[in-house]
This record gives sequence, structure tokens and C-alpha cells, in this order.
Amino acid sequence: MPTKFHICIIFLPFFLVLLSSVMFLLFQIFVNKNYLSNLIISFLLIFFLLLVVIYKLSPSLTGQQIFYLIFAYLCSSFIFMCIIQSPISGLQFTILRMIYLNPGISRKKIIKKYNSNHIFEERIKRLEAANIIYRNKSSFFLKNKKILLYLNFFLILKKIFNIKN
Amino acid sequence: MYYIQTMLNFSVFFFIYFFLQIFLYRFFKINLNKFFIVLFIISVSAVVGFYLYSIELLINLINLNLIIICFYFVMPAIINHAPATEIIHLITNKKINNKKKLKKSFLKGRVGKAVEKRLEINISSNLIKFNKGGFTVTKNAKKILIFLNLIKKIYKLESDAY
Repeated sequence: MPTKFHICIIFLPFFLVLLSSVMFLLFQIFVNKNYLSNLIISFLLIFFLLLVVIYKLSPSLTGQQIFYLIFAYLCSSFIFMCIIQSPISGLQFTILRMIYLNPGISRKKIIKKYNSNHIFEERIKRLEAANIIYRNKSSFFLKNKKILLYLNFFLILKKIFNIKN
Repeated sequence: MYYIQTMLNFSVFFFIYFFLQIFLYRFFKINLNKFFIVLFIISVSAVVGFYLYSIELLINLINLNLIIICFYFVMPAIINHAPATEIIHLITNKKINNKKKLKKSFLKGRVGKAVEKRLEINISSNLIKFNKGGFTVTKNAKKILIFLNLIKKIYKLESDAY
């Protein structure tokens, strides 16, 4: 039979993600940094808070509950980050938004207004702004090597799932 | 010891689910990560969790559902080629640094038809329909767009285009 303590444990990770989202909002309003840094900082600060809570409550927590608290927080934060990322760079949603704003638009017009040329220029700008790549004369080089972890992770998954083109 | 056992039990489920996805996608091109499949699993878990008064079971069910939702978000990134990732791939793995050459490779490569591909995905997901020579969004797509616009406004986010 779940007690009040158990119910608190169940809702704690979701409450913390809510807190992290509020912190992200405050960062977006008051701190002049790019959104990704704000998102990561708010996630890490609340994760640290979660670790403190676990440490304080550790005598009354079981191993399963500690695992749940950490795992549920990580998963919910990941879901929140995906939701935040979708309206920014989701190609599928950009096309949806374009059709929503121009009902009855033809395939030709969509491709004329938004094609791979535009996408290339936009992504180069964003990668430069996020300090992931830098420009030297007319060439681009990788600045942030940490992104390779992400790239290789997805390349491995693509190979495992046999995704080609 | 119990902590390690919990993690092991959970890892077993995770790997079963992960390998099932690989098997179905690699050999049959079946993607389990559909909205209604995820919704069905969550509904079944909610009913099971409600009727079986066990905190351990409830915790496991929440974790399992969270993994399923995470997979739902990760799978499109695996199946589709993201433009930004492709640019980084060309710069680092293919050693193409010059902007003109980079653009040429980008347009000729697997992301060159990204807009057309996403259009097809939107059609197959019933988010847009073809009507009298043009596209219009469906009711479900409108709801998604309203939700995402709200997120954009609340968090003061800027999208690439539109």
C-alpha cells in the first residue's frame, strides 16, 4: 500500500523537471546566453539538487527508489529537452508551420521557399553561433570536440539499425 | 546488492526492448515508435499500476514507460538524417572544410532531399493532406503546432525559419 512518502518519491522527479523548466525560463528571460547553455545549466543545477535530496533521504530510501529517482529525472529531462528542441530546429515542424501559415501551398512553392540551400545556411549560422564550428577564411573547422560524442553515438545507432539513405 | 540487482533487472528489459526494435526495423522496417502504440502501452500500464497496489511495480512501470517515450523521441533522429549532424560529419569524417565544397557535398548527399522526405513523413503521419493542388494541415497537426508555438512563446525561443 503506497504511503504519503511513496507518493512523494513517485512525483519528485517530475516536480524537479518542472522546477528545472522554470529555472530555464528565468535564464531565458534574465541571462543573455544561448538557449542550449541555459537548458543544460538548469538541468545540471536541479540534478545536483536531486543528488543532495537523495543523500539527505538515503537512510529511508531503498536502492530501487534511488535508481528510480535518478533514472526518472534523466528520462523526463531528456523528454523536456526534445520538446524544447522541436520548435527550434525540427525540419518536420518547420514544414508543418509553413503549410499552416500558407494553406493550399503547392509542393513546388514549399521547396522554392524552404529547400536544402536554406537549411545549409541556417545550420551553418547556428553551429557557428553555438561555438560548435568556426570559420577561417572560407573554410569551417570543428571547435567543440564534445559534439563528436553525439555524432558518433548516432552514427553507431544508424549502423545498428541499418539506416543508409 | 539490491541496488545492483534492480539495475540489472531493469537493464534486461531495456536490452530486450532495444533489440526488439533493432530486429523489427532492420529486417521488416517496422517502427514500433508510433504515437498510438506508445499511448496504448501507457494506458495499459496505468490500468495495471492502478489495480495492483504495489509501489515497486508502480516505480518499474513508470521507468518502463519513460524509456518507451524516450525511444519515441530518439527514433526519428536515428531514421532521418539531421542537417546539422551531416555538416559536422562532412567536416570531421570526410575532411571537407571549404564552404563551397561543403555545400556541394551537403546538397548532393543524403540530406539534399530533406524537405521532400519530411513532406512525405508528414503525409504518411496524417499531419498534412493534399487538397485541390495544395497542402493543408490536419486538425491533429494544428493542435501540435499550437502547443509548440506556446512553448516557443513561453520560453522565448527562436526557430530557424517560419
